[in-house]
Amino acid sequence: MKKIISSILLICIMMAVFRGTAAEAADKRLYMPLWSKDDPVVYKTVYRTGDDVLISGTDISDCTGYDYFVEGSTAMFTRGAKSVVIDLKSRSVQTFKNVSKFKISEIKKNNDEYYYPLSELLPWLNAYCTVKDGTLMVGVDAASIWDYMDDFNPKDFYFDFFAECADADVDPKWIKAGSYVKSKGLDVIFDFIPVYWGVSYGEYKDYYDLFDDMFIDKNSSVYALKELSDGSEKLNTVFDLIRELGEYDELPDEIQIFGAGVKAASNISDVLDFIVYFDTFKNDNEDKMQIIDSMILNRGSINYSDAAMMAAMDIQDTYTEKWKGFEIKFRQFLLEDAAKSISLKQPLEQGIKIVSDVIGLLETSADQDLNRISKYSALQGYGHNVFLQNKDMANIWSIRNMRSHILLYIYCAEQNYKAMQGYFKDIGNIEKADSYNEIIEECRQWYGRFLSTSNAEMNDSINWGIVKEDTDPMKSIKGVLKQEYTKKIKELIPRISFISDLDTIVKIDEAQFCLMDYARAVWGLMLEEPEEYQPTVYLGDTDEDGVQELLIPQIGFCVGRISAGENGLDIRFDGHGGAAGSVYLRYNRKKDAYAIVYNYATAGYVEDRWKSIRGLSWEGDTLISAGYAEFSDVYDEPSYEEKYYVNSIENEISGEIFRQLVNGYEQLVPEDDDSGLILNYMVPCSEGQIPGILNAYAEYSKIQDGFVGWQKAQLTGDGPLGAIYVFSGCCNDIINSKAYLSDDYYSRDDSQEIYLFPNAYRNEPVNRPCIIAAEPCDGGIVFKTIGLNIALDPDFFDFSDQILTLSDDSVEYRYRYNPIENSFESGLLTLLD
Amino acid sequence: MNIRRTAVLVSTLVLAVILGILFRSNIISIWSPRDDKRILYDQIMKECSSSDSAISAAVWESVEMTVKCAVKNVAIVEVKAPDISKELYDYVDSMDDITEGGLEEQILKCLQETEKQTKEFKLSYENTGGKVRIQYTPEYAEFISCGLLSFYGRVMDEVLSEMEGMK
Repeated sequence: MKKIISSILLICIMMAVFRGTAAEAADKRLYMPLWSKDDPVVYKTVYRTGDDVLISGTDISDCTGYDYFVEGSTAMFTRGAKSVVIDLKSRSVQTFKNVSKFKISEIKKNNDEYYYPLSELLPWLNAYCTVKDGTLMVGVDAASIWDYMDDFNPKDFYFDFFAECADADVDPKWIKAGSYVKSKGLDVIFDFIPVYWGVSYGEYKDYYDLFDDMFIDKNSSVYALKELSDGSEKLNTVFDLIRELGEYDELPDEIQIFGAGVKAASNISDVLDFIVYFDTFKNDNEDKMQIIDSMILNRGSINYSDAAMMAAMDIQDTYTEKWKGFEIKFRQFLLEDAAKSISLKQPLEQGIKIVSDVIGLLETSADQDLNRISKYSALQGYGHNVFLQNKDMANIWSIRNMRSHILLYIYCAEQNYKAMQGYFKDIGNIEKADSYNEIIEECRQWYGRFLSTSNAEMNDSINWGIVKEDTDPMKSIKGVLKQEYTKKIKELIPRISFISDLDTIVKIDEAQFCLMDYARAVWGLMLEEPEEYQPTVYLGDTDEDGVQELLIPQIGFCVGRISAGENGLDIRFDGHGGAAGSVYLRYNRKKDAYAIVYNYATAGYVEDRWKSIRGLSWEGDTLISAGYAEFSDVYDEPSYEEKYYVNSIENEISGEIFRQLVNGYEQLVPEDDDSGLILNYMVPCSEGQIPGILNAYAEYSKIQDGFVGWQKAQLTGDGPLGAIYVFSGCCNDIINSKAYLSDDYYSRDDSQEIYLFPNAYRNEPVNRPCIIAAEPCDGGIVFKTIGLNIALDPDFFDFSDQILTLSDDSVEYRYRYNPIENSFESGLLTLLD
Repeated sequence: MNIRRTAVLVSTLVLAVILGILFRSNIISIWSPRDDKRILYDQIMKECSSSDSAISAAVWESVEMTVKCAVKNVAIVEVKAPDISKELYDYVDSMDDITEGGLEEQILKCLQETEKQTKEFKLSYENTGGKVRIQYTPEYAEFISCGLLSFYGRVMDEVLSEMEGMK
């Protein structure tokens, strides 16, 4: 009975003393040592509030490198494109790009300086803090996902491996087999099963065990702890206490504290022992964790295997959790220690000191979350950045880099999401973080497509079912396109007649890589400032039905832009073989005639000169030609020279091309690449308009002087000598075809044997000639660039009769092409692939 | 006495009927937890058999599946399926070039000729208000794909190793 009464009395005394101390501490203004990068240790004024401290905006700015402003009732931290805006009245915080909005618990004002709760604000500044040797240390990550948020699009990560590899010189049968199986055999499975990246669980497990062994090595403190806990009665008591304390987790803090206090009163030596072991554990594992951290941080530059990196990450996560678990227990022990000290009527100052230490440790514990949030978001940033750097590069290194950094990014996104959830749950005052949650949720959906089997084996909480896009139509690409683009596309339809049915446009295989580029291409349609945007557009008539599909990547791909032009669709091509250009069809209503504006620039060079040519257009009633320019091949020392100038036309595209050249336009394929390039495009028109358009193209071809620029054949050797342009109802209909041979060829020096058609008449595939054929199709004309298996002898052609009838009298060479036998024998015409 | 006996008998019968109704409607399920076998089976069938692709359909037709039990968010699923990964890989490896038609034919042939294996899988699932969400495991996916996932992985390895050889 006496014991019970004594215990109750003890509890009452402790409650009274402890509460008083806590209240006192909450109002206590302290001077706290604060470390920042620039200054070794400075003492700053902080306010302690509960478990946290309030620190001035100016001091936060000093420590983190963020600029800090206060205007009216708004405070703002900014760094680069990132800003954290605080409403000083409502205490709501708006982070970068409306990513999240939440309320901080307290803001204190003193002498025109605002003080903010440190632990609530730091994660959003990508900063972290810790307490070491009694000093509060604040650090900032060099990068974070927030720095790349503008570029963030989780759907970018959705690419098809085989499409990415298509340009690599790999035996096509493997590419075909992989693509076929994925598109036809696994179309359902891939909706909810991660892509198998070739990392076996066994391999992963080997790595995981290896790392795990490092942590539980017999020489390590962890192992020692386990041994001691099994064999030592004293430590068993401590661990019993730990287990018992664990059961208090669901109880209110005060009961936990006092319950623990009563228990701890007789176990002081055990507690001290535990502290010793905990310190050993922490120090020992800090070193090991640094190894893991180092591996993970250097994974972009060092070619670790995927399995190793996955295991390293899992180990990091596992031991961070264990570490955190130990710290929580340790914290609880110290709370007991504090309560016990007070109950022993030690001097008040000492009690405050202990409580202060406890608070420091609480902060340290909370820092685990803070650090996780900032570190994960930093890794996300690095991952994303490396991914972007490697995107669209088809080689083993870039694909590996990209793949591993997707994994890094998504893994960190997932972990960050969890850490943030935990953090906000702890502080319990989040208002909403919808946008960020949505982003991460979306990311998690894609995550399932990339993580290998091993992650799922580790009981990751991914529910593969949620990646099924058909569960919510609006989450499918088609749905999003319809939702976001329908209105704008409809507005453009009168000008873009072939885009008459959105369903037709989006009849894409959603399992294919081209999806995303399609979205980007469509997006390009509606940009008000198209120069700011350079989407990738894949063009091709893959099923050879004469209709342009726009979306299917070809092995010989081209990139470019489509946008709504004044009289039609403007298509700009940047061929990987070196050409960059745009194609316009200009219609002169008064004359009821057409002209083609084909602006392009080479991205390769001819005899150390970059070349750029602009085409033909209407200016009022006059048909005008454009300029022809050359650049030095030294990117940063352009020597623009107008070689040939007739009249000016709109030059925004050319201007952009020039800028690209000057800024260093890189060829996207290796020099020895011999894949041909086929550019097909369709001009929408009625049947009656076809002759006029064909004539316009023929005329345009002439003025282009045969400089095609699409095919290496025309870009090598001594410069442009010509290409043949065949216009007919069908490219095989030679009798009714019309053709044009370049001016250069026509006036060639017969003594120059090399002057065969076209200039680079050789047998090597890279120099195969090409012709452009026009084929009327349903709703317009499809123009095709066709590579020839062998070059044609120009003498096969007779260019004697003028047939083109454009009104410009300056046109001198108008020919009808009358082939002689064998000129277009079957087999000569072959679409390059 | 007869009246009392009759009353007791009637009462017992009424009680039995009520209990029967309650058990049948799962209102009372004291003795055994609810078995979601049927609903889980339907969900798996719905998710896996909805393909338009002939190959996917053929793959799924080759798979026999039995949900042995589905209780407390854990299902035991028995699957019988052929593993055609090796045969398919050998086929592609032996060819100079392949066509879609040829590959499709080979897949169908392998599916028909390869002996089925039986394996049990433990799958987690959630059933909230009749909305079932299944957490598939990679091993399960691999098995029900009749080895196509594994084949896909091997092809990827092949491509990567060829690319590595070029570097």
